[in-house]
Parts: sequence; structure tokens; C-alpha cells
Amino acid sequence: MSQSFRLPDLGEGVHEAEILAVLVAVGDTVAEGQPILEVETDKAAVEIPAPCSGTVSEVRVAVGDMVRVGEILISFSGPGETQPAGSVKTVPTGAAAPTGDTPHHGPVPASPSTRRLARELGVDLRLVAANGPGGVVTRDDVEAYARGRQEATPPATATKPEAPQPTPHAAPPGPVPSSPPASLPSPAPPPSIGQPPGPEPRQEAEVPAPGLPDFTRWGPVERIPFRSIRRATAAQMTLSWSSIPHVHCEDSADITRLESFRQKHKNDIAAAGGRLTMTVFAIKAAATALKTYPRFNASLDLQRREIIVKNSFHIGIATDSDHGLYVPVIRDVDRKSIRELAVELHQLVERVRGGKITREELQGGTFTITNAGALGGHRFTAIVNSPEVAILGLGQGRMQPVVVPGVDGHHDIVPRLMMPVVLCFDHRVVDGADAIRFLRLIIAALEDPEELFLAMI
Amino acid sequence: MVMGDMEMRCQLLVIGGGPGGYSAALRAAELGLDVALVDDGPAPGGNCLHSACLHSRHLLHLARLLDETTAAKRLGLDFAPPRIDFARVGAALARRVADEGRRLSARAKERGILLLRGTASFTGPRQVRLFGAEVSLLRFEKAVIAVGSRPRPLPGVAAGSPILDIAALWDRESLPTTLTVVGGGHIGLELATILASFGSRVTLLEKNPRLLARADEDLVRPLHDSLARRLAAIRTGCEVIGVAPAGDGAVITCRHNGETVEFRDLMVLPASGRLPASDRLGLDHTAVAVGPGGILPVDDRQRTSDPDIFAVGDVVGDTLLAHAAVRQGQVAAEVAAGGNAAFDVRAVPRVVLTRPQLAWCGLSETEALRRRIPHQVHRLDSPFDGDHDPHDDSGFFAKLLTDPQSGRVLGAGLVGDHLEGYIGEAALAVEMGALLEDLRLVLHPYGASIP
Repeated sequence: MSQSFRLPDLGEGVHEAEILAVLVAVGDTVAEGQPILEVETDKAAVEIPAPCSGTVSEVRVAVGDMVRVGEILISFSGPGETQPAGSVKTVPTGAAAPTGDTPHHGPVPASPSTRRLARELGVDLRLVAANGPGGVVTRDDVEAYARGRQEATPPATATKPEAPQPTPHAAPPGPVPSSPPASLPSPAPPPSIGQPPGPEPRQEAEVPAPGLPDFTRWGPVERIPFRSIRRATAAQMTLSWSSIPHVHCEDSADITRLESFRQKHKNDIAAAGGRLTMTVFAIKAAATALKTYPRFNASLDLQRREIIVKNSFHIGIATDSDHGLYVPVIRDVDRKSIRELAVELHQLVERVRGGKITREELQGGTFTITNAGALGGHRFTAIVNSPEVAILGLGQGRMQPVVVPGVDGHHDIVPRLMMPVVLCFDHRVVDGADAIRFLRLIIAALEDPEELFLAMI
Repeated sequence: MVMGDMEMRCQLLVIGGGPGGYSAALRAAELGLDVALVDDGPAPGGNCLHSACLHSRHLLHLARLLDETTAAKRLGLDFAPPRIDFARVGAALARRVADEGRRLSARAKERGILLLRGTASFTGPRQVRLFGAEVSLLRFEKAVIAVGSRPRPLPGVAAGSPILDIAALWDRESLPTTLTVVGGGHIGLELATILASFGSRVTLLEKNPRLLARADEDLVRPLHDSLARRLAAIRTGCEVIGVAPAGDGAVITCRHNGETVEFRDLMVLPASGRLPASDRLGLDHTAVAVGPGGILPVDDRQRTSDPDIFAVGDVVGDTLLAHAAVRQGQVAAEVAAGGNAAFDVRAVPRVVLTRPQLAWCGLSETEALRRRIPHQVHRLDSPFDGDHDPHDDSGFFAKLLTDPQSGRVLGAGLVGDHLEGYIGEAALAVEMGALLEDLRLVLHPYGASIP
């Protein structure tokens, strides 16, 4: 038997995966079903079992490679030495049908020496942007592609699990925070609601960057692989930041009463297996505001020139973890109680931190909340989690002197627990006035717990 | 040393010393592998050197000289009628073969290749037994099978039939005055051309409806017309099913249009294709899969289904061309040495050295139609530049296939003379992804295609 193992279709919308680990080497004998590779798609890591028993005759991938569905990863040969003579042998691809040339796509125009170079560098000519006259792929094109790929996936020598990433807007994490810390929203799941397929975000992030100076001239450096979640986050942020005209709307909410409510009930919730955090209240407040101003629960369809308003309310919660930033989604938040949300959120966060989150749980969000408060973050801005329209950020509540109207027409200065809130939105879909109304509604809900709970009824 | 008792090891064993085998051995040795080359001939070179390519070349050259001196009369040059001294022709040819064989042996020895004379047969996945060699058992890490092909025997040949062995042609006193060539492919056509120039009366039998069935029909037609004037007869659609001696000649029985017909001739020269010589290799003892007809299927790295055993040249079927085998051998050697090579040739040039000559490379129109590859056909009656040269009456004609979208040249077919130069140019165009316009804008020396 000789068999080429190609990257199988891993499910909806997944076109490529990253090789996390190669568990076999050339010459290894494997049994059918034995894990041979670990790959990671947009978010979830998958172990790939051997499709057959045999001897590994070729490993075409290395840790850090991005592979596309259908690409050959590993070839197996049958147990040649032990195979009884005369038994059926699978015939390899004949020279008459060379791999790479499909009948309907002509050969990629490139000179023989360029083709040889591409083969030696392991570059698939079909993926290389041609800059030669009339679309010829030149030697320079192949080299540039290989360089770009190498920068995106440096050699595996420095490979180690990525350290927790301090986000730009939050203090470096100390002890593991008990509630989702603030951070930029992480890569969105592929658009799922009537969204035409957009450009592949990862490709944009892989546009070869201008060259860098040799930093070792000024001192020793360490090179850390830029891949996995880090790279996916970069791609998604580049897409959001470069395509969405962002506006930030800042304010503060007086959560003095809400905090005392939280203190009063948190033990009950804990007994039920949840954690009553500010985020839970913010989810509820956001649900109310999204129902009142549905344009914040939308996506912009530029191709069809339509705004897609979604009638369900699935809120993504930016969650920091040792593996990077994730945005697990709580579905139908408008139909869930504070208690249910507190339990579900806690479980989701635990699943993210334990690396157990599935792709499905990361998809389909309509709005995102990011809470920097637990890490001590106060004021910050966020990037909209494309293709959503807005993201709500919460800072740490701090006791502050607040001027309030007194009984006799004078003003009093009183200590109140004030929490910064920021709404960042896509100005193509909504305007500043909408944003202020939306944010005021959220603030009102957070400042008046009774109002908030009434709205839930 | 006791004959038959010695056992040896090598990193790369090459079985067969033809173009595929010796190029694999030379390249592998250059890359630092410890190489042994087993061949049953007196020197490396294979059929190509010892009986096929080099002989045809040499004889085609002589045939051309004969034709040209005859034609020179018309131009005002008188030569005495040619007198062919068989012994000297044979000796000159043998000298040339021996020189080339010595040159190959010397190169192999320079590179430290162990040359073993004998035949090899696998007795295990990583060992062969040698027959007729001073070493009896050879263990290897990797192997290249380059055993080539042998002529397909004619069916139903009765004992005593007058079959002409082309390799032994010059051992004869004279050429047969009349003979029948069986096979209208590349080899048959070249042999028919040679023998006709030497003065034999040649009948050509071909089982397919036309000559050179793999080439485009419009390329073959001018050759067919020309041969029809030079040969006694061309019979297509005529499949030989038996040969028997009759008097001082032969009776050739054929199936033609469903009927059995008989022809008589003095001698029969078989040229009806070649068979891969993979049958006596003991491949049962390896993981090498054997395809239909004994062909060894390989991937683009020349690997058989055992990734450490490679196959190159005629034994993998496909082109049956020495120059393709040479590249395949080099690819096998590079892959065996851990390199990342592949047989990535888009335009394998073929030249049939008849009169007129025929050459093609890359995509043929026949293949494009069969595989439904989008293409455009451009016909030019002068070499590539498109302007008809009024002094050119050589009958030159070029057909270029381009990609309809990009205009790039995908293949070329040529009819005319001196085509070995032109087909190289067309192959370069295909390999480089040139546009038809690029090819046409290249200048050619005035009158280049005039014979």
C-alpha cells in the first residue's frame, strides 16, 4: 500500500490549518487510528489519526506550516519488507499525470530554474503572486513568497507555548483574574448569518512586511514564533482596524448600588456554580440596549449594500487565557436570567482556560463585551470585532468623589463607585447620536439595578 | 577471490547502464553516494549506444549523405555512384560505439562508481543476486531500476523465417534488395528511411490506421506523402499475425479490415514497439508495483511504490526517449541523495529523423482534444517569424498551440528539415512560458530552413 494523506475537510468554513505537532517521522510504523498530527484551525486544535496502517515514507509538513485542505501532509508506504510477495500493491501516481497540473488550469508560467527553486523551497507555484511580465512567476516572486512565509512562521527552534499575552490596554496579569479581563476582541468566527464570503483575513496579515534591520547589531534578541492564536488575532485585528471607521464613546457608570447588589447575591450564585461579575450585568444591560437599538446588533453587507440586522442576541466575551485571546459566545442572552448567565459565563471561561472550547462556541456572536476591570484596567479603547458593529468595554470601578445635587440647591461631593464604560462602533452603520443613546441606556441600567431587572421581565 | 562468493554493499545500486542508468549513477556519485552500476553489456551505454540511438544516428547520417550526393547532380555537382563497403561501414560504426562506451566507463571510474558486468535479480527488498559477475550478492540502501526495454517480438514467427536484426546489419555482405518493415512508429519510419536511401525496396506495415499514431495527423501527412514516393508500399491498418519462411523469403500474414491477407518479401524487419524489460528482475521480492505490460509506475520523483527503489527510462513507459531517461536518472539520483528534485519537464522534444523530419514537444493537438484542454492552434509556414520566406521551398510548417487566455505557448509541432534546432527553441518557449508573440519576434537567420 502506498497512500498520500491529505488535509481533510475539517468542517464549515475551514480552508486551512496550522501544524502544531508532527507526531511521526519517516520510517515510523503507524497503526490505523494512531495520532499522527496535531493541527489547529481558526481556534480549535484537532488531532489527526492515521488513515491506514503502514510506514511513514514522507512527511511534507513541519511545525508551524499553514496547510490547505487537500494538501498532501504525509505519505505512507505499506509494510514493504513484511508484505507477502505478489500481494496487491497500489500504483503510485504515474508520470503521465503529474501532480499539480489539473486539466483545466494551465501550467503556472515560470521558467524551469524558477520551478526548481520553488520545489527546493517547498513553494507551491500556484500560491505565488506573479510579478513577471504578463503574469510569469519569477525567481524573485518565489523568493519573496518563501521569505514572507518564513517570517510568518519562523523556524521551530524557538517553539514553546506562548506566554499569556498582556493586552495593550490592560496591566500585565498578576494572579489569574477571576473574571474575563479586558483585552482586544479576538478573531471573530467566520461570518455565519447571510454573510457572503469575504477576503480571507489571514492572507491580509501575511502580506510581506517591509524588511527589518538586523536587531542583533544592537544587542541579543529572541525570536518567538508569530503563529497560532497570535497570528489569527493579528489577522482579525488588521481586518477590523483597516476596514471599519472606528469611533469611541466614553462615559462612566455609577455602580455603587449595583455593587452592593452583587455583594449581596454573589454567594448564592457561587453556590449555583456561577460567578456574579460586572460582566454578567453588562451582558444583560447590553441585551436591553441591543433590543432597543437593533442597528448595534447588525453586520454590514457591502457587496449587497445591505445592513443585516440580527434578531438573536449572542454576546461574545473577550477572554484572556494562557493560549491567547478567545471570544466565546453566549447565545440568546435576552432569554436567560442573571443566574443562568453567571453560571454559563463562568463555565465558558473555564473551558477557554482549560483549552476545551470548541469552534462552534466561538462562532456566531452579534456583539462583544470586554472587561478590563478585573486586571485593574481603567480607561481604554477597543477594536470592533468584525463583522459586528460595536464592542462595549468596561473598566475597573473605583471610588471617586462625585458632585451630586443637595437638598437645598447646593451641591454635595460624595464618594461613589464609578466604572468607566466605552462603546466603540462602526460609524458606517451607526452615528454618534445613536451611540450616545445606546450607551446612556446601558449606563442607566447599570446604575439602577431595579430598572435593569425590570427590563428583564 | 572465488567467483560467485563475494558479497558487497553499496548505498545506491543502479541496474542497467543505458542513458537513464548511467546518468543516475554519475549524478549520485557526484552527490557523494557510494554507487554500483550493474550492466550486462561490455560497457555502459545500453541499447541506446550499442544498438539503437547511436546506430540510427550514424546510419541516418550516411543515408542523408547518399540522398544529398544524389540530389547534388541537379545542382551541378557530379559524384561517382556510391559504393557501400559493408565491412568498413560496420567497422566505423563499431569504433564509434566503442569510443563512446570507453568514454562512459572512464567517466564512471573517475567518479568512483563500481561497474559490475552481469545481470541482477532481486532476492529481497534490499538485495540483488548477480549473475555472470564477480560479485554474487549485493546489498543496497536504495536502487534505481533502469533496465530499459526490448523490441516487441512479432507474433507467430515460424522457425527459420528471414528476420533481419538491425544490430547485425553490417555483418552481412549486402542489404536485402527488398524487405518489409513492420511498424510505422518512430523507429520503423527511421529504419525505412535509412534502408530506402541505401537502395532497398521497402514495404511498410502499420497496424494503426495511420503512421505515428501518437503524433498529430497534419504533421504526419507530409511525411506519409513523401514516404509513399520513396517506399514500395505503405500499408496502414495492417496487423501482422504471422511470419513464415517461403522459398528464399517470407510470407507475412496480416489482418487487414477484418480479412486475412498475405504478403511475400525477402526479409522482415520488426519495429513494432518495445516492451519494458522488467520481467526478469525478481520484483516479487520487493514492494515495487508492476503496472500493465510490465511498466513500473513512478511518481514525479521517479519513485516506485517502494520509495527507496526508483525506476527511470523505458521501463517506466511513457516517452521511450534517451534524453528523457537521462533527466529521470538525474532526478532519481538527487532524490536518492535526499534532494528535492522532480521530473518537471513540460516539453519533452521528439524528433523523427525522416525526410521531411517531424518534431514536436509539449502539448499536442491530439492530446489537447483528448483531454479537453482549452487551446488555440496557430499554423506558420516559415520558422516562427511568420513572414513567408520566398526562397524557402523546404516545406517547413509549424503548428503552435497556445493557451487561449494567456497566449502562452503550450506545445509545438514542426515539419521540415534541421528540426533539432527549432524544436529546442520551441521547447524553451514552452518551458519559459513564452507568448506566441515572443517566439515570432525572435529573428532567425535568413534562409535558415533552406536545406
